[in-house]
Amino acid sequence: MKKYKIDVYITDDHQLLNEGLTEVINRSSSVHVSKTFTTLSDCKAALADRRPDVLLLDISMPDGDTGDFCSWVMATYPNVKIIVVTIHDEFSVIKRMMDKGVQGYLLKNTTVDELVEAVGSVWRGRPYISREVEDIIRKGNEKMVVLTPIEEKVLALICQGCTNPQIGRQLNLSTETINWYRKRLLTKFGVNNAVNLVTKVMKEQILKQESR
Amino acid sequence: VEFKLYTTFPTHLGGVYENKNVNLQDIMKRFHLIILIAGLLATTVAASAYNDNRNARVDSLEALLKGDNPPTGQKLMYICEELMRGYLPVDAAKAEKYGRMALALSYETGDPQIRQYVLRHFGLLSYGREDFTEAIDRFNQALAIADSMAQSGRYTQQDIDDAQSALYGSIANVYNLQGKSHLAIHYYQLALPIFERNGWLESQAVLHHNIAELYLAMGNHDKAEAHYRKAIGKGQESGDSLMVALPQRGLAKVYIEKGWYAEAQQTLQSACRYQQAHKEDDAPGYADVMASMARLNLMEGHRNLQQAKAYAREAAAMTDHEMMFEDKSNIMAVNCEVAMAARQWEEALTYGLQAIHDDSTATHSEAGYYKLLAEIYIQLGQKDKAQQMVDKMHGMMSRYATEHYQSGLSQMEVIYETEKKKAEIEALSHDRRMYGWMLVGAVGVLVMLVGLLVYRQMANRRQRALLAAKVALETETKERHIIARDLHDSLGGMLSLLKINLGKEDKTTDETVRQVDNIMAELRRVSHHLMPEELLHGGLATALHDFAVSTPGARFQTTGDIRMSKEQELALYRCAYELVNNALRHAQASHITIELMQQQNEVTLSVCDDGTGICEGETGGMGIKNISERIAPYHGTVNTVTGRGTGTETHITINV
Repeated sequence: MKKYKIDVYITDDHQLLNEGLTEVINRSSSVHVSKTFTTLSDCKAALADRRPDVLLLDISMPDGDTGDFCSWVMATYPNVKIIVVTIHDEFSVIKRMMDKGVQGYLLKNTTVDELVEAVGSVWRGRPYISREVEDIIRKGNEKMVVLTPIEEKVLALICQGCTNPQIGRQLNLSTETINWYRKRLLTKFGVNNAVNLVTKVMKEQILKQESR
Repeated sequence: VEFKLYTTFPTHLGGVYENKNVNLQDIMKRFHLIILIAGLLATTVAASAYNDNRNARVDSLEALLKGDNPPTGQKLMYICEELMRGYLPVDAAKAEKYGRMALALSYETGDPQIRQYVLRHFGLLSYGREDFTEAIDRFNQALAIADSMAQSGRYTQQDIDDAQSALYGSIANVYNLQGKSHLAIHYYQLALPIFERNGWLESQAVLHHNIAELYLAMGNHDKAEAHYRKAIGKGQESGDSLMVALPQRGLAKVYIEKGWYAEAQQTLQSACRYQQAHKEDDAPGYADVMASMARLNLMEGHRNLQQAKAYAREAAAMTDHEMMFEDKSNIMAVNCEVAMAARQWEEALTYGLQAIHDDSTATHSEAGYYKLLAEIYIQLGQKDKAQQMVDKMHGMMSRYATEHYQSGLSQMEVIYETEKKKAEIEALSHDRRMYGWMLVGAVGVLVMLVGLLVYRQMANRRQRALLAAKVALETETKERHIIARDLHDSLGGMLSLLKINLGKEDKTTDETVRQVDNIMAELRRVSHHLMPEELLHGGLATALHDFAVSTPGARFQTTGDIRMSKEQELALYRCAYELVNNALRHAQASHITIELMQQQNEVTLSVCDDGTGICEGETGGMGIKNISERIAPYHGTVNTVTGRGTGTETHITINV
């Protein structure tokens, strides 16, 4: 019995890349590239005839927004899995595509082995994200109030109840600068006065100490 | 020019009166004594020639108006004015018609000088109709325009002097004719300084003479003497023998009244010589001087009856000539006086009764005649008649006194009011001038200040624009350098290495692939710096977030939704790029925080690192300078807080 090969379409605006990828992927035993397209509209037309198992998709396409195209494909043909293969490593781009619900995200510096692995993974229903992209997502999702060294010092002195001139003398900065930092800290912590600031900071600092 | 007023004026009147079939002699009365004599002799011939010329001129002008292509505007106005002037002595209706046209046109063209002329002519027309009040009104209107001409500063002093002196003279003449001596004197005296300023000697002589005559009629001998003397002086200076003889005749009368024989005799002799030479031209004048000679010979202590009688008869012989009744009365009176001196009462009575004239306005001399008659009647033993004469004299004297007093008072009031008004106007215009200058000064200072500010602002703006252009150019050049260097150093180097590796048979494909990966990443970095795509799609926060994520050790945080223009976003992005690269390359920072915060309309981009920091001497290096220049268009400020070993915090704030 002949082993089933996962049917793959590739859509990328570089014909040369399409041909190269087709050649290396088809050497594998589990994946077969049946069609390639250089525009989203060609791909869209072909999908009406026959659906592949997995669609490899680049982001920078000349005829339209890839994000919108993804949404359309997933709504129209829910069985087709999408893996984004792109040069874009920006967190915002990755986040946007992931939010659309694509099953995989690979950068173009990936290896053929990883690509075949990713195709297999998503076909089985497991999303695949390369390690590199995973790092970017993690770093991009970091959410916490980060203080600069000077801000930390100013905040500490505010918590001790020092006035602006006193803080200025201690840090060797002008009163205006301290006042500027004070306002900045209020904005950063989303509070409207020094009392609320101190209260919030105390609370967060306690939490931080406990978590350590 | 200056003589025109007194010479052409009576000619105009004569023409108008003849037209109206009014007896010239009755109307002229005293007026001619004062004015007509002055000009008539000198100008009769000239005036008629002038009138002939003028009539021809008037005809041609009228033809022009009726022609195919009648003139309009200013030209039409001048023609109308000239036509009015031309018709003034001959056709009052036509003069008025053209006058109205010229007046309307003068308002259209905004020409006050013509308006003033036309009003003056209208005044003369009213004068001709004996409508003295209206004449005075017209002259005053013209005077107001002449004053405004003087204020405007657009006319020469000559134009204004001509207008003002002519108008003052005209008004004085009207008052003189009305018997309002005080007002007449007042206006003559207003004209005087103008004549003096211009050195118009004949005119001064005429004015002084007129004033003196008025004073003499009023019985003010001292004033009359002073003005006669001045008139003689000016007359002699100008070389006009008539204007010497006329005041001399008057002065002699004053001396006779005062009883100064020697002075009277001397003055009269001179006048007598002139009048004898012009006996045929000026019969009344000759008669007048003869009468004075007769009186001289009747003077106390120098009485020579024979001589007096001879002179009186000579004067009486002249009454066949055309002359005014005052002159005739004077001649009759002097004959009466001579007869009385000879104690020939019947003869005296005959002459005395002839001297009396009921219409006379010269109450002063008239009262004198009644006194003579009363004396004669007493000598004749007709006491009732004498009493009658005395009563008449008393009535006339008291009427004269009352009239004189009342009219003098009212005239004084008029003068006072005019003077007051003038003083007020003067004060007002003085004030206005002062305020005007103050205003001009203030405005000047203000203009200077504003100008200075604007100039500085402009200079500043230009300087800034120049600087901005220079910076833009420098920045662009610098960026091209960076791109060129990046392409050459990194990509070029990597591609060279790849080429070498491809040439070696033994090298594995993996290494080649790795090198190509590196080249791709580098290409991406360079192209990304040229124009970060996220900036266009997701805004500055997204772009900075991506930048931080892609930069090892860098973090990004922001507060809320921050909005600004694409240009501002790009500027701040490039600033962040520059600061982060500085931190990585020069400060060997391991942690970098990029922050974007908005407080009201201020957006602050902060890049803080934990690197080596910058010493004081190093601050404001190329990096910071480039940043300042980039954000200068958005009124941005850059604050750097740094120190050796404490890291660096750079805060860039712009207004959005």
